[in-house]
Order: sequence, then structure tokens, then C-alpha cells
Amino acid sequence: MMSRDVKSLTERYMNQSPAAFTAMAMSAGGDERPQDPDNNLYGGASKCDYPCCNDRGCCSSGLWYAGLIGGIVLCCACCCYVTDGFNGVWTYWPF
Amino acid sequence: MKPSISVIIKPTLDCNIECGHCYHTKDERTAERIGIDILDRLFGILSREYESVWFIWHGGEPLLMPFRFFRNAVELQEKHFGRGSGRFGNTIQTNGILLERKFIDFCMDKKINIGISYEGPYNDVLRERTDDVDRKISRLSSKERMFSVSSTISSGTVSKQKDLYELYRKERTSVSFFPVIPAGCAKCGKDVPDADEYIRHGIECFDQWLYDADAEIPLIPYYLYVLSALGEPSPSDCAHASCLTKWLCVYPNGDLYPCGKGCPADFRMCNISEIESMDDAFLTDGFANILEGTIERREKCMGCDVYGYCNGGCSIDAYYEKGIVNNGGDSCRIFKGIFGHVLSTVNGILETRPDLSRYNRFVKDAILGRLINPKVVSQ
Repeated sequence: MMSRDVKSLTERYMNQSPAAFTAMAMSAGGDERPQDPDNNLYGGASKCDYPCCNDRGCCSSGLWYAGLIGGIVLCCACCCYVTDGFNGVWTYWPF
Repeated sequence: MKPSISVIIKPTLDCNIECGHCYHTKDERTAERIGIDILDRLFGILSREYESVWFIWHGGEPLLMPFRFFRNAVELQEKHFGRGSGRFGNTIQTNGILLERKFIDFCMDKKINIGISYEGPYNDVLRERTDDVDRKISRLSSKERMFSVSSTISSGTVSKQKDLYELYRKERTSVSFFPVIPAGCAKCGKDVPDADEYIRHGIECFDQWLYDADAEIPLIPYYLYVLSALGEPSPSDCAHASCLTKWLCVYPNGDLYPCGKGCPADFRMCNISEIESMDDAFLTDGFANILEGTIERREKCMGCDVYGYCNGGCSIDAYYEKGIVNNGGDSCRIFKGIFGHVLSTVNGILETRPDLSRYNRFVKDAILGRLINPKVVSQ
């Protein structure tokens, strides 16, 4: 795709209108974030393409999964209590 | 990461009307639709390499894409850039015929700007189905009228700029004016406005807006010219802000071009599937072609009084007018004529310090800002 020194051409172009590029650099605040080839930008969480990912497309934390499992267990326990051990099928704790 | 880039996405070149000035000829306006895989790849690369990206959905008519397409596209943007991160924004430029309330609600929810290409009572000069657009716009409540208007000025409407300003002023709808250039369907030149007429009526319109103390809308590009005259950078005025490397256009098949104005094949950079980084796209022969022509033209421009403000103007305008290596075309003359008037007006205000209450609030605030915080910006 490249057969000319396009970098030199780009540099010449930018040097023809330095103010237009200085202004842009100033508006960016000069904040150079480190390169992150693993796209690991959000607090160490890795990129996630599954339905369980959070709003930023990253894996949810361990606490999130613990809460999910705990919620399911609590639901089952309450259901068991209300239905008298699933109508007598479950005879162990808390009965 | 690089600071920012503006990306025009043409999800289709297909359209439901045939505008007289369209950049794309009838043969080019095929039914091809962009795939979601192209968007996924595009957003992935951009999110890794740029702090922020502004997306402008164009075409063709972008609303020919189904509603779920835009919902999926925004979900992809949120996935790659982060929802609520402030790292991306969207504008949709449409002829308005297919605007529906559900889509408008979606745009309000996702903070997507809507631009309608429309010339009010003169819409039939360049476009079609004006009644449909009028019906759509009139049905929108004042809360839903959160769109801006982009009016293309042709030979038939060159003397109507003041009328159009008055109309949109009454509707409190932001408006921008751009002249027809001899490209695509307008190549024969019959719709291209006379440059001297455009300058004369453009200056009249600017003066009307300038002295309209009750104006509630900015008038683009003249408001951007005021900011430029005051030394403020105006990256949204792409034609005069050295756009190369800061703008990109994506076609339905994933081809990348440096601009959305109907670039010739010589300036095709590459296809998104061929690159791993945007740096690769900006190192292609296609990009080198537009760079070389632009550099040569700007060498000729540098002695001009307004070069520091126009930066050699738009390369695509120059390409279609007198050739990319030549200045002095209609776009160049129009900018010199109108900007020259804006610049002398602004300098006069700064020197004489008159009562600023006679000016509209946009100009007043910009002037006050300059007086309170004088900056030296080398041009």
C-alpha cells in the first residue's frame, strides 16, 4: 500500500499550518495514555464479549459473581421454606 | 493515543430522493449496506488509538438503514469506547423524510445530534418530496425540535440567504450554509452559485445576524469565521482547519477515504479489513495523493493575507474547481470575500470597543472573551 515517504509528506503538510495542529494538541491536554494492546483499560478487568459483561464491555468483578450465586442460593432457600421443602421432597435443613 | 478524529460513516449510498447537487451520481447510489462487522472492526481500532471520536452518519440517506442498525451501532460504540465515557459522539445528517418519533426519542436518549438537509420554502430547487419533510417537521413538538438544518446554497437560492436565516431564526433552529460545488450530480455547474453573488448575499446575511441582538441561533459558518478571526481554533470548519489526518470517511463496503465529499478514486486509502491500525490507512498511496496535491496548492497560497485562517481551504473543493494543485476557485474566492468582511468587522470592534449590546449574543460573548482573556495565536 505504501510506495512513497508518506510520513515526510504528512510532516510537510503539518508544518504548513502548525497552528491548526498545535491547537488540537492543546485541546487534548497532552495526556498520553500508555498503549494497551490487550485493551485492558478499565481497572484491570479484561475485555468481555459475553452477556454478563458490564457497561464498559469488561468482565464483571468477582464480587459481582459472588453476589449472583448468593442471590440464587437465597432464592432457593426461601422457596424451599415457603413450599415446606418443595412439598416434602426436601427433608433436610432447614427442616 | 492520538487526541481525536472525526469519522463520516456512509452506511449506504442509496437514497430515497435525487438531489441536484449530490456528491454521488446515480450509478454510485447502489443498495449496498454496511455490515455490522465493519463497524465492529472500525470502532475497535478507533477506540484503541484515539482519545475521542465524533461520528457523522451520512450517505446516501442514512435512515434507509433500519432502526435496529443504529441501536446495534451505538451498542457497539458503548462496548468499545465505554458507555458514558464521553469518548464518542454522533450526528446523523438526513433529508428528514424518514424521521420518526421513535428514532427521535432514541437520538434524545443517546444524545445523538440530528442535522436535516433542507432549504425551507426553496427546498424544491435542489431536492424532492419537500411536502413530506414539511409534514414531518411540523408534527414535531417544540421539545422534539432538537435538530439543526444544513442548507445548500445553489444558483437558485444564492440571493435567499437572508430569507433562510429569518425563517430559521423564527423557528430557533441552528442553520449552516454551504455552496454547491461542481462535483457528482452538480458537475455540469448549472446549480453552482456565482461566487460574487454568493459573497454579496453572504455578507448581507452575516451583517443581519451580527446586528440581530435577539438572535438565538449561531449562523454557521459565519460564527466559526468570527471565532477564527478572534484566534480561536475551529476544527468543525473542516474546510479551513487543515483537515487531513483529522477526518476519515467509511463507505458501505469498508473503503476508507480522507473526506466525505465524494472523493475521487485516486484518494481511496484502503479497506478497513486490510489494516490493523489507522496509522496504516494514513500511510497509503491514496492518502499520499491528496497530501501531495494539497501541499503544492498551499505553497502557492502562503503569500495570501487569509492563508493563516483558511489553511489553503478544502482540497476536494479545489480538486473539482480548478484542480487540487490550484487555488483561486470559487470556494477560495467566497471564503476570501466573506471572511475578509468578517475579519475587518471583528478587528473594528476590537479597536473601537463600541457598545456590544447592539450585537447578537454569540458575537458579544466571543468578543468579550477575547477582550478579557487576550491570547496571542500565531496565524
